[in-house]
Amino acid sequence: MMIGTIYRRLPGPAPLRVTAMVLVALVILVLVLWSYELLGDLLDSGGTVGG
Amino acid sequence: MGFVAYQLWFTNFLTARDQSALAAGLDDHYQEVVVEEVEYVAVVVAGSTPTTVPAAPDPVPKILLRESASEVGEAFAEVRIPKIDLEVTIVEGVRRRDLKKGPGHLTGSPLPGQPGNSVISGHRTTYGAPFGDLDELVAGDRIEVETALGLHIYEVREAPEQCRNEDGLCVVRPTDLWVTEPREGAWLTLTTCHPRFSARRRLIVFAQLVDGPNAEVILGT
Repeated sequence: MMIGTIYRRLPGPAPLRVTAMVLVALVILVLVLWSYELLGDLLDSGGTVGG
Repeated sequence: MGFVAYQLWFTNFLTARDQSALAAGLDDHYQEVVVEEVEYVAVVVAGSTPTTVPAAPDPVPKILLRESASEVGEAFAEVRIPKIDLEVTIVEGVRRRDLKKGPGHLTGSPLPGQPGNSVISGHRTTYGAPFGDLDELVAGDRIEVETALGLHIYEVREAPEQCRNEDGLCVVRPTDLWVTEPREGAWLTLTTCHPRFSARRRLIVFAQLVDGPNAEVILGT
């Protein structure tokens, strides 16, 4: 629903809008995985001493 | 949900994939390693008192086998702990990306089977949790490390008083560097996070070399 709204509000031709949304989705995915990595260090940082 | 799935499932998948590749390349590594004979020089820790005094100087130098170090991130050994059903390939280095592949050997500490204190760190909860059951080890349990030199056998020793908790485990802060310091004889120190699902503390297991290609020279038997 929200994705559809954003898509309709984007300017430009359809292929450009799709490309822009795919790129934004990829960036969000990378940021989410990166945050998982950082949060994961709280669970288990690898067990190093002094590192 | 996504976070839990990523940490407890997806990271295991990544490590299992890396471990397969590392184990497959280990035999090639053994072929490539350069083994040299060096004169054995005992590790002497400052402030300690020798437990035995040799009656006379040894006229024949003792010869120790030493293998060349691997590149950081490369597999170089396999650790087997029968008690906890662990069989895992070890990589050189303890950077975040090294430990994602498997337990890592602290660069700068001696390689397993060499005099001093060889330190290996590994994940407790995520990335395959190779050291997940390290808390089950007790004094006398056997740890086998296979390197290019051969099979080095260690025996777990009791936790030192300075870090022993009510369960008999050695638990320290992540900044307690003394656990990685050189030790007389030949030791293997395994480190991991403690308790499970937390990186607040470190669980340490100390094991002493009892058999292997260099044991006779180091132990003086």
